[in-house]
Amino acid sequence: MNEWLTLAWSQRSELASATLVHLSLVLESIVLAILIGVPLGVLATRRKSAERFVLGLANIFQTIPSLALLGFLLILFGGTIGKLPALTALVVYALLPIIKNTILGIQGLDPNVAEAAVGLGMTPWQRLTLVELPLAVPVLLGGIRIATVSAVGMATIAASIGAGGLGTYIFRGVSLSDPRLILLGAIPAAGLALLCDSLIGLAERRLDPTKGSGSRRNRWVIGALVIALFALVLGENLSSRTGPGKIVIGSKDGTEMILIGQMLAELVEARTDLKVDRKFNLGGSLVCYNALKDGGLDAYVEYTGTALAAILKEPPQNDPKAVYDRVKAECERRDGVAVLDPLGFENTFAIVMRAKQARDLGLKKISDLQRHQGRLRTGFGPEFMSRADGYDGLMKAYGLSFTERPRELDRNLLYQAVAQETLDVAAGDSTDGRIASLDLVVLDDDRHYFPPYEALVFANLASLNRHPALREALSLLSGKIDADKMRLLNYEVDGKRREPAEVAHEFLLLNKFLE
Amino acid sequence: MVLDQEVSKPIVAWRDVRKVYPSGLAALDGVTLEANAGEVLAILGTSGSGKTTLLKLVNRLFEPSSGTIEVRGKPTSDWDPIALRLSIGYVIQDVGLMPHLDILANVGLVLKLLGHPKPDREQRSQEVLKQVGLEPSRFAGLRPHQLSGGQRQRVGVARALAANPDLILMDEPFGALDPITRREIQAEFRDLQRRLKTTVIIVTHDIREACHIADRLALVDAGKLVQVGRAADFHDKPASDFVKSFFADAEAVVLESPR
Repeated sequence: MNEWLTLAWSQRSELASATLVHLSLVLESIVLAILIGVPLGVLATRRKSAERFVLGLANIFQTIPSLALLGFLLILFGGTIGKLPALTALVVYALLPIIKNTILGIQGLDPNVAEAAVGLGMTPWQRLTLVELPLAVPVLLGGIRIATVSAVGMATIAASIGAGGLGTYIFRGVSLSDPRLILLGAIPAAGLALLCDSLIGLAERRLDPTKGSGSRRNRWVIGALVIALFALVLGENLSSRTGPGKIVIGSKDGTEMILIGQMLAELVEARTDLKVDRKFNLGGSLVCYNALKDGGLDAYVEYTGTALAAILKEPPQNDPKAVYDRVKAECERRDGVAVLDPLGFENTFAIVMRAKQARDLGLKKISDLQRHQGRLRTGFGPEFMSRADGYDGLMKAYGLSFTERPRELDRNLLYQAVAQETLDVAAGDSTDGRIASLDLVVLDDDRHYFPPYEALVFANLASLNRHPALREALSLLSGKIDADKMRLLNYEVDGKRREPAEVAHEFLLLNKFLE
Repeated sequence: MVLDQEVSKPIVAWRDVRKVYPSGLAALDGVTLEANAGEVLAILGTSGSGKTTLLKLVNRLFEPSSGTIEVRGKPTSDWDPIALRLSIGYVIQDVGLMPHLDILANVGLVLKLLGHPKPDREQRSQEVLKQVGLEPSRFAGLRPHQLSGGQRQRVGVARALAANPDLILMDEPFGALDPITRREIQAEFRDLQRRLKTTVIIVTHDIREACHIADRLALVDAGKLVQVGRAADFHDKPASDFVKSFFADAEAVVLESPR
C-alpha cells in the first residue's frame, strides 16, 4: 500500500494530465452525444416510425462490443489513431441513454399540460422549447448521468488506440502484469465516475424546473461549474495540440516494444531538436501500421515475420534474409513505410510450459507434445489463433490435435495462466522476461515451424526525409540489442517491476548512447 | 332586416356536424347549434355523449368528418389553427398550468405567445389575477404546486381572460373541485362574465352548474342534439322522456339544497 502510494506520488503530474485527458474525452463525447441525441429523441416523439428507427439503431450501437467498435472505427477512419475514433466510439455508446431519456421526458409530460399548451395556441416549436424540453430536463439529466458514468469506464479502452487517458495505465499494467499500474488507472477512473454521478445527480435534483424558489441561484452555480469544466477541457486541448516538429513514437502492447519505444523516444529527444509524443500500448500491428502509413505515428517497433503475415498477408517463409528483404521492399513501395536495419534480436513465438511440468512429463521439444495431447490444456492469443503462421499451421506442422479446444485469451495473460496452472501450454514470445521470472520453459521448435521474427524499427518515410537527424537517431539501436540483452531488459520490467522508462534510460546510459 | 341579421350573427355555429373516430365510433351525428355573442351556452350530456368533441371542434383540437363549424362567421377550416386558438380562451378541468412557470407567467402565457412585451404582460396579468380574486402580491411568484385546487382553477380562468378574448371555451372547468369551492367559483365566474360580456361555451355534466351559469342549455345524447333552450324550457316542455329523466334527478338535488 505504502509502496503503491509512493508510485502514485512519483507519477502525480503524469497521472493528473492523464485524468484531464480522460475527463476531456468524456465531456466532449457527452456534449456531442447531447447535441446529436436530444434532436433525435425529439424527432422520435414526433413520429412513431422515427421512434422505432432511432431507438432500434441506438440499441444496436449499444450492443456492439467496445473493442469491436473501436476496431471498426479504426478502419472507417483509415487508420487514424487517437482522439477521433475514440471520441466517435464514446458518442455512439452515450447516444442510447440520452435518446431514451429525451423520449421518456417528453412522453412523460402531464397530458393536461400538453392539452393546455396546444389549446392556448402554441406552435409545435413553442411547445417544444417552452414546455416539453424544460419539463424534460430532470429525466434528460438522468440519461446524461448514465451516459457519463459509463463513458468514464468506456474511455479507459480508448488508450488502446492512442487516445490517452487513464486507460494508458491499465493497459500498461496488463501488458506488464503489474497490478499497481492497473490500480493507478482504475482508482482515479472509479473516482471520476463517482464524482460525475454525484454531481449530475445533484444537478438533477436542483434543476427540477417545477421546484420554484431558489432555482435561479442553483442555475447560476451549476452554470458556473459547467463553464469551469469546459475551460479545463479547452485548456487541455490547446496544450496537447500536436505542433509542427512533434514526433510520435508508438508501440504495440508488450514490454520490449515499449522499452525500445522509450529508447527511441529518448534518443530522438537527445539527438534532435524535435519534441516527442509517446503513444505506447496501442492495440496491435494493424493499428500501429495504419497509423504509421497515415502519419499519425512516426515510428514503432515491428517484427519481420509479423509484417509478412499480418501486414503483407503473405505465406510464412523460413529464410530470415529473404523475409527482411521482402518486407522492406514491399512496405516502402506500397505504403511509404521505411523499414530500418534489424535491431539484432529475434522474438519468435515460443511454446511455453511450466518448467516443473515439462520435467515431470519429459517434454523438451514441440514434437514431444504429441504424446500428451489428450490431457494438456492449451491457450493462445487472438493474433496467434488467426494468423497463417499461428495455431493452424502449428497443428499441421507437428501433426498435433489437442483433445481439449484451446482457450483464446489476451496474450499478456497467458504466462500467468500457465504459471497458475489454469493452462499447461501456451504460445508466448521468446524474449519475454516472464518466461524466466515465472519459471517457465520454451519447447524447442524442432521442425523449424515458426518463421523469423527479427525486431526492427518501422518509420514514416516522409518524416525521415523531412528530418534527416530523425533517421539517424532511429537507426542508432540497429544491431545493438541481442536476444540475451533483450530478455534481461524485459526481466528488469516484468520480473523486477521497474518502470520501462527507467530501464530504457539506464540501458542507453550504460551503452553510451547518452552521456 | 339586414342590420338585424348582422347583430344576431352567432359567434360560433355548428352546421350539420358529424364526427366519426378512426375506430368507427360516431361521436357526433349531424349536430346544428349556435352560440350567440355575449351569452353563456352550456353543452350538457352524460359522459360519452359527444359534448367535449363538440367543444374541441371550435378551436380545431379536433376536425369534423363532415359539416362545418364557423367562428365569427368564418369556417374553422379557413382559420389558421394557431391564430384561432390564440383568439379563444381555453379552460380545462385539470387546468394544465405550466409547472415550471410562476403564477404571473402562467397567466401571461397567451400574451407572451401574442408577442406582448414583458412589462405589459405583467401588468395585465396582475389585473386579471385581481379579477379572479387572487391577490397578485401573494400569488404572483408562487408555483402551481403551491396552490389549492380552487386557486389553480382561478389561475386557469385568469389565463383564459388575459388576452381579453371575445370567446372562452370551458371543458368541465369546475368538475374537480369540492362542492363548496365549486359553488363559490361558479358564482364569481357568473358575475365576472356578466361584467365582461364575453361569450362562454361551457361543457358540463352537472345540470345545477349549467342552470346556474348558463343563459341557454344544449343537451347532447349519443352524438345527437336532443334539446336547446333556457333552463325553464327543459322543465316546462321536455322534448323527450330522456330529457325528463335527465332533469328529474337534477331537480331533486336543486330542491333539496337550500338556496
